[in-house]
Amino acid sequence: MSLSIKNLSVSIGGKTILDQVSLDLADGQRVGLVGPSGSGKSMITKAFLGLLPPRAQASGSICLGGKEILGASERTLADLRGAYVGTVFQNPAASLNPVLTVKKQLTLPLRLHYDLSRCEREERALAMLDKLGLDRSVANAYPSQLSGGQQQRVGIGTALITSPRLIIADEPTTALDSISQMMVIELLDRLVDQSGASLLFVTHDFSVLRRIASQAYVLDRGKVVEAGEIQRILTSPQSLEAQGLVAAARELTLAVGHGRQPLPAEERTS
Amino acid sequence: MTTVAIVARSMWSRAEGKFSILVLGLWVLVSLVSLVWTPQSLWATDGYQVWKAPSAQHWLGTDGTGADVLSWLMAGSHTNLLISLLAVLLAALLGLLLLTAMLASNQLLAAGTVVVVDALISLPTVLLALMLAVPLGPSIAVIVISCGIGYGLNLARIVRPQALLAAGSDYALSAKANGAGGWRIMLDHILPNVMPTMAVQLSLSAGTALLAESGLTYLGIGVPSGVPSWGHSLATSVKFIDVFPLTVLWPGLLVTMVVVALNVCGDLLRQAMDPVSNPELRKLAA
Amino acid sequence: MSMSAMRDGCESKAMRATPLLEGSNISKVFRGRLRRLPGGRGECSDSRRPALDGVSVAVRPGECLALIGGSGSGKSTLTRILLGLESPTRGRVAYRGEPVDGTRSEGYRFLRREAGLVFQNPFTSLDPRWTALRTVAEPLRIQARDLTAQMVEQAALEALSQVGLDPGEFAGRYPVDCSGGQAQRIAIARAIVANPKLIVADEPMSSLDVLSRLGILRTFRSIRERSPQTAIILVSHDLGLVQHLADTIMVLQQGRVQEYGPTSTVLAHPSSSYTKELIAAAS
Repeated sequence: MSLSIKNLSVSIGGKTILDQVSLDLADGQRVGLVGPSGSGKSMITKAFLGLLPPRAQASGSICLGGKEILGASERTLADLRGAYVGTVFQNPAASLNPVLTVKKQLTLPLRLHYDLSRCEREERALAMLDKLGLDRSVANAYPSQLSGGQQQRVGIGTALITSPRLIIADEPTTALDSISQMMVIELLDRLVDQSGASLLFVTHDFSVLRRIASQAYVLDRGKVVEAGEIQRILTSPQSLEAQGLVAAARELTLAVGHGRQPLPAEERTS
Repeated sequence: MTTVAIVARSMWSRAEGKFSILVLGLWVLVSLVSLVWTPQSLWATDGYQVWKAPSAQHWLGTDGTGADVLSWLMAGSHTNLLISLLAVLLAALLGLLLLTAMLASNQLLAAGTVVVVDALISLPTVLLALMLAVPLGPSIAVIVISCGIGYGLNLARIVRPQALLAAGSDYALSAKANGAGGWRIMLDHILPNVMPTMAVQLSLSAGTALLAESGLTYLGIGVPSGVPSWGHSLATSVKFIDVFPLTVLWPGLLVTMVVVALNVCGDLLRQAMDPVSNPELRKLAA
Repeated sequence: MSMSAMRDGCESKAMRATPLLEGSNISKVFRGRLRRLPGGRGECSDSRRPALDGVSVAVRPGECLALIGGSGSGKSTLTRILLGLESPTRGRVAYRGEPVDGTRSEGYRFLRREAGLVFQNPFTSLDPRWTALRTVAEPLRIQARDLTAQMVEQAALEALSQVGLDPGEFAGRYPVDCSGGQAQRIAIARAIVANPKLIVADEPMSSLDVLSRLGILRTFRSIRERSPQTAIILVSHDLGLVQHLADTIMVLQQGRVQEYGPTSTVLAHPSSSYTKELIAAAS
């Protein structure tokens, strides 16, 4: 499903959070949204999920599959959110309901948006567990009984169970240790590939992003400062902000790695 | 500008804040004035002037003995102020004591206190007052002690989760790792972090103490007869509510206004005195 | 002098010195099935499997030791035991040669004076109702009773500028008005204000974005340059960070030591499959 944001500006209490942001995501494309904390990247995802704080003032346009969603009714938004858009959140411990079992969490979106029998729902939930690489015995566990990596896999499962056409991953790896990060990235990569959905991946870290997306928008203080192929941004970042993010990601990546290709070296342009 | 000035200004900046500051300020002022002066003597009774409607001489009318209602209410305000202050003070002391015991490193003391508080909290304040009235007779002490104990137990229980959160926090652990003892962590970290909640709870308690005064005085175990208080004014006139409704209206209205003002004040005070929710206060330090 | 040459210098000097902090054969078994550790984060352990199983470790003055492992590896438990904040089921801890065994022991008292802590989440490790100045000054207020209030404040302001925060701007700030990176710097200033001999940093960067991470990394480097005798225990899962700071790496998995040696050796020739996996994930 395509997403097109044109000149989106958001301000809260007179303070500008987003300033004329434009972003395009074609059907089936994978795009990254990179920026340091406070750059406004999570406000973009909030804006098109219709989850802006009540005092926020928004202008511009957000088109989801040709439908304008900025200012759309609560009902339309809820339908869009559940059936066409799946969201993976940063902190799985906070985004999963602690009193629901894994199976209940997974079937909840189906119950809200589809007319399926209880049996069918449970079947789909168990099938999803297989896809997530989790044992079926996990179905009756509560989130607190799972590790961080397992919780995030369930989080991905709840986002993908309705077969959404657009997946938004809002810093899904930030709260995890490095091995779980890799597993989550690989899982998301595979599942998005299978479903053919579009992906918007929000992160502060290029070394994570380059493994899952090909295009990126760099955001700083509410403005898009650079956009393009990730390979190109990594080798020759144009804006100061992108240069800072790329340099930081490079310095914080292990230099003596085995097996995986390191971040490509920066081209020295005089 | 000092902290007090900033807190007062933040409260004054809102309409309900103005209301509560004015009502409570007036209460204190009238209490002080009534110690030395009332429009008419409390004991100037007049058998020919009973249950009179408001007039130029008696602004709020007269009661069943012909005494001036306004004078009695003014004189009552200092009794009620005293009761509220003492009850809140006792509640705060008891609450803090129990809270400290609940956070003790001695597990037996901590768990024991929790059980005792939970058991005692089920005891109604009125029952406690009735039991106290046996040895003490109707007196201000009955109201203060029963309210102080009841609200102190409540305070400890309501504040405990927040105190536990602060006690288990990384900043408390950091202080401990730097060699701070339990008392120091209690004073430096736990108390300041439960203060806002305590402020709200105590101002609610001050209002509830006023209501308790009226109730207990009506039952005959509160303020002894002859001592002016709002509860006393209510109790002597409520029997005649069908015939002379106005005399009940004045003390009733007064108690209601003051209780509302106290509740509003607590909530606003919490926001105004807490640097986390009041940016003005944070600017002061910067 | 290049960074690596300097690290080698430190390393050889460190190897000769006697250990500052030593834990020998430490085991920890939690009673009960699920135990929530004080400090917020919980760690699951079942009664049969010890949280720590015969771990021996030594930190020398000036050495930076990285403790690496996933959740449930026991690395947090180990640091708490090494700091004397929790007692081991078996084994001994010694600080400056003195036993750390209960709050009355000599080693425990030394540790309280000479150890600084940095936590994972700066917003839960700073008192929300304290200004930066008060927070940073706290260790001195507790320990150095002979200092005047003015000297304490002076030292706190100096610590703030050491971590790259302008004291004039930040002294009166509350945590709510700080970014994650700034708040973490305040926490680091608190850890270094009393000139500690040991700094323990528990995942100091994992809640921050890459730019702040880089800033914190540089702050730690400058601390090491300025006080080369200060030992650091860095608890982390992030090898990208560890490679820049640590002299020695210990990899823990399920309470057992998988790997323990100089950083370059462990990263170039990992022996356990778990370490290999970690390296692959971080590069």
